[in-house]
Amino acid sequence: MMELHDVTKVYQQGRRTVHAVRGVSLRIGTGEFVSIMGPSGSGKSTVLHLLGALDTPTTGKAIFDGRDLQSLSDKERSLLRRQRIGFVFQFFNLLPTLTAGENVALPLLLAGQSRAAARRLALASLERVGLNDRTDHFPEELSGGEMQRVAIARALVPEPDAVLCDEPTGNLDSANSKDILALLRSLPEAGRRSVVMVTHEPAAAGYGDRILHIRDGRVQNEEFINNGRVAAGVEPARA
Amino acid sequence: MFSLHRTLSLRYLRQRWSRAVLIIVSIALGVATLVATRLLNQSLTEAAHSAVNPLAGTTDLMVVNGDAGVPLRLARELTEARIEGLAEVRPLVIGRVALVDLDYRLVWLLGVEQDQNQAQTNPYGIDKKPRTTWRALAAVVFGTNRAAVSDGLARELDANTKGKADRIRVRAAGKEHLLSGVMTLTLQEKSPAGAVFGANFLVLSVEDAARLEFPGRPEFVSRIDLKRAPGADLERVRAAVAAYVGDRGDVTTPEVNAQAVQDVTAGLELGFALGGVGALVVGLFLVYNALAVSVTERRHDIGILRSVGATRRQVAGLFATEAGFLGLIGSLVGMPAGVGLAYVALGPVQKVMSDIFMPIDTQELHIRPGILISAALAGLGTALLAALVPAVQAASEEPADAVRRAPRTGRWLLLFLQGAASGLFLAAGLACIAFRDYLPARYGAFGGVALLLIGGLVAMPLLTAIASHLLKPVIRSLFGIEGRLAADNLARSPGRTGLVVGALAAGAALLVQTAGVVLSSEHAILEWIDQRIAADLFVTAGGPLTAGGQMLTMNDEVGERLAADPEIRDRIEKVVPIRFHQTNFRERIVFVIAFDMQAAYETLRHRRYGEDVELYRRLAQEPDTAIVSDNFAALYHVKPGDTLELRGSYGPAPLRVLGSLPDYTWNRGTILVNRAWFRERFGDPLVDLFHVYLRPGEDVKAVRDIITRKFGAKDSLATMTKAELRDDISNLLRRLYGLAYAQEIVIGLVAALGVVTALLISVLQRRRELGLLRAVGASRAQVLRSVLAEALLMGAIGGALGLLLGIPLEWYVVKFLLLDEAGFVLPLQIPWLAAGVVIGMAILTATLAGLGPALHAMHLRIAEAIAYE
Repeated sequence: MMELHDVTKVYQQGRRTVHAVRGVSLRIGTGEFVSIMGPSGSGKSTVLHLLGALDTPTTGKAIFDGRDLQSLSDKERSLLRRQRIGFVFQFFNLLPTLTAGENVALPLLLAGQSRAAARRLALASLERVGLNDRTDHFPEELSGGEMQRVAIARALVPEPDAVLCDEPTGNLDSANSKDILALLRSLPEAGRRSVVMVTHEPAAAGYGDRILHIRDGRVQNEEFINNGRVAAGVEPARA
Repeated sequence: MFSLHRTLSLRYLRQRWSRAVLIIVSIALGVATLVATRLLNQSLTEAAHSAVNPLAGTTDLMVVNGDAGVPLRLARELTEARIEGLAEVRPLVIGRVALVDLDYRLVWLLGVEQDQNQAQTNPYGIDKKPRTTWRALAAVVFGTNRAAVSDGLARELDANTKGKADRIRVRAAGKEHLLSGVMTLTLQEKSPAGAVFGANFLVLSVEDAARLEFPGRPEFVSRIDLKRAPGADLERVRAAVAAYVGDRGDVTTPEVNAQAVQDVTAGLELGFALGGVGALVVGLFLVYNALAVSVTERRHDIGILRSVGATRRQVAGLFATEAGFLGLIGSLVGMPAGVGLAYVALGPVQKVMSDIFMPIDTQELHIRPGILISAALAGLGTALLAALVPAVQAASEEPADAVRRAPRTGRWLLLFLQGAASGLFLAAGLACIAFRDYLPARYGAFGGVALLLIGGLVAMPLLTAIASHLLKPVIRSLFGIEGRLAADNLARSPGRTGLVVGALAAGAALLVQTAGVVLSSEHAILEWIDQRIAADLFVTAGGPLTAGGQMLTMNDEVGERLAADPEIRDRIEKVVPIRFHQTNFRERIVFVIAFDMQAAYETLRHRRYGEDVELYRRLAQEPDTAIVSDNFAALYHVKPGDTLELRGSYGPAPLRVLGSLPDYTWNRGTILVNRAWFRERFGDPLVDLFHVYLRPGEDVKAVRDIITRKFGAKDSLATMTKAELRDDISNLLRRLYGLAYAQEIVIGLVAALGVVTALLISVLQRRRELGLLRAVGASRAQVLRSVLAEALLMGAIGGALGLLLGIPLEWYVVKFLLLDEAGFVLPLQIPWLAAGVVIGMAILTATLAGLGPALHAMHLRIAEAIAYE
């Protein structure tokens, strides 16, 4: 489904050159739930951005469903994100000027759907995350857990092939975190949808099928989880 | 796409309504100024054309010769010559006379051929009819149907003469004439004559009118109008007529003739038009500023949009649509506001134009849809242009950077681009000025200064950053923590504040420049009056000397009576009659000023007017010579010894130039000639002005009072002292530049709106910082002071930069524009007092504009502000 082949990412931060990713290779299969763990600044979010066509590698290849992301134009990558990838962020990233329903409808409106059709689908998506009674509320009127559900509903509304989550519980209390993680866990349906979640909380990472540990821009090791138990010490997957 | 824009943009604009309103008002003010300026220019230009060439629209070609007129005989000859393609020849007399019974009101005098008194037979839309049946009968029996007045005038005359309005008294050329058998005359409202004359006109036969208008040479008419046959080639007919007319007159089209009129006022009009465009340009920069900040503020939102699949084009389109929408509303608001402004300004502007250039009589604005539409498009275009860079900037955001709030890269590139763009504008401006002689008239001089201003505005963020860095140590030592924070904040965000400071600076610079030009002009003109005009009293008819078109002509007899009056004759040294005569010189309108040089010489040689006196003496003694004004010499590159080819009433009238002297009578130059020569060559015995020289020690006001008492009512004379003339000219100059001041105040207003926007944004950006300040114990008053200090600093820097820009701008206008435009060589005067007032106004305006945002900051909730992400 998604692959990185010996990918590096270097960017400038003021006068500093940041080597965020230093040669990562990995593969995310269809229907898989993969957690990526690592300390702050380890490059895990950058890996997520590279997987989701939010960013392009400095060297190496990023593949989505067999297509080299670097060979795609910016417009094609935008369409890919719009139709096949859903993002969930730590700080929810909802537009403050839009209601919950409108935030969820955003990808559909960008695709040129009518407001009525987009709203209908957005309502269905909100219902799926249990928020159908908060449709017309603005983000500032919602709790953290509710905002993250709205973000998940927005990620799901185009029925994407992959949902990429960047610290989705990083800003939530433990009760809300559990609900959100359970919701994310339920997303890979019948081998149809992949979920990749970046987190630095081991408990959250345990919801995945597999955990990739990243440190200093490299994949350090990989763990497989079988019925909640971790099978440690496995070498990272080679594409 | 509409759904998307409706969802995203409208919601955003609703939430940030205050900023949206500011953008709308900025655009609306710019559009309103543009509409008002263009409408006024259009209406006044049309009125000026009508004043100089009334009824020009009724003819294909005209035979003209300035104020000298052309022989009536020529019209007869042209008719009989049967020139191919020439269908109609109509001699016309057009002038002004005063109606004695209506308190010497000036009315138009129109002399037409007798067979053109009925609507069917003339193209002017006039139709004579007898006032009553018995009068019609009397007219037939006694042949007294010589004059006709408009319905309105007839009614007024009836009221003032107890029903004896069939005999009216008119005053022309210093004499009173009785016209009998007056008929009423109807005028089709939308006819050419209706548009020019309104209700104030008197129609006579062409011969009778010529007797009033051209006393001493009644065989002349103002012009001969020619109509070509259907399908005839205009240029061919013109050439054939010109060959026939020879040096008896110019054969020209109304359009070409109108250009000479346009030429007189074009510089002023262009200046006003540039002022209108200036308001829009300042608006453009402020809208750009607001949109650029909006992009920065919404950078995270852009990242979200991009992460959920928005393409670059969609993001750019979003910002462009928002700008276009606001621009459209601004334009729609600005159009009626501009029309309203034009209505308010029409009267005062018309008065100034009449006083300075020519009698202009326009009662209404001619609202052309084209002007409104082009101004609306300019407003919309301005908003879209302003959105261009921010929209591209928004579209170029990398989604990952925007989402993770990575600092923007390419700041140096942006600075470089800004510097390069500014340099480019400045270089283009300088090139325009340097090569202005090779560019179409006025393009280089006016375009150059516009480009320099734009270049300066583009460089403003950089200049503001430098200025605030330089000011920081001073502020830190002079003010408390609030001032220091304000200075730091200003230096930190030159992008946000730079253009606003620039707009303030532009407004201030233009105000300083205008004040400087007024001061320089006033200083030079008053010095000219003090040092070159020796007369103690200025006697005119109909209205005072400075009332321009309100003056009536007089004759020598009036002056003789003045000089011989027993009450004042011992007090008067000399009365010198002067005639102003308008003529064409190298396709431009110039004035010939004719007076008795010998008399002037004898009077002036005892006074302290050494330089001019010698020239006067030579002119009095050497035949066929002239003195030209300095601006005439500069405009037409004329030097002593050159020969000027003028056309007199009876043929060529060459003049050898003896020298030049300062004279600010006319912006296209003046030629001073001996009156005896003028009378001989132009056959014109009329007088416009008497210079009255008193004997030393005589009381000027006492003599003025006697003249007013004895001649004021009887001869409709108006007398001014030299002091009054000085005051009137000062006032006139101030009124002339009043419109420029009004435009600059609009620019200042737009800039003030920019200050509000910039500070609102500053408060938003500093929300966390202000919250922290409050959390560590800052009082509400301290927060208020910090924001107000930033506003005050913006005003101070804007005002100071305005002064720095304004003085070179004034230098440019005085030394280049005025020289190119009018040939006037004026010494530069720096308006220090006005500059101080302007800087004070800039500080006050900015501080007042900062009050709203400061109050908003004061009421921030601490917890919310700190939590703000």
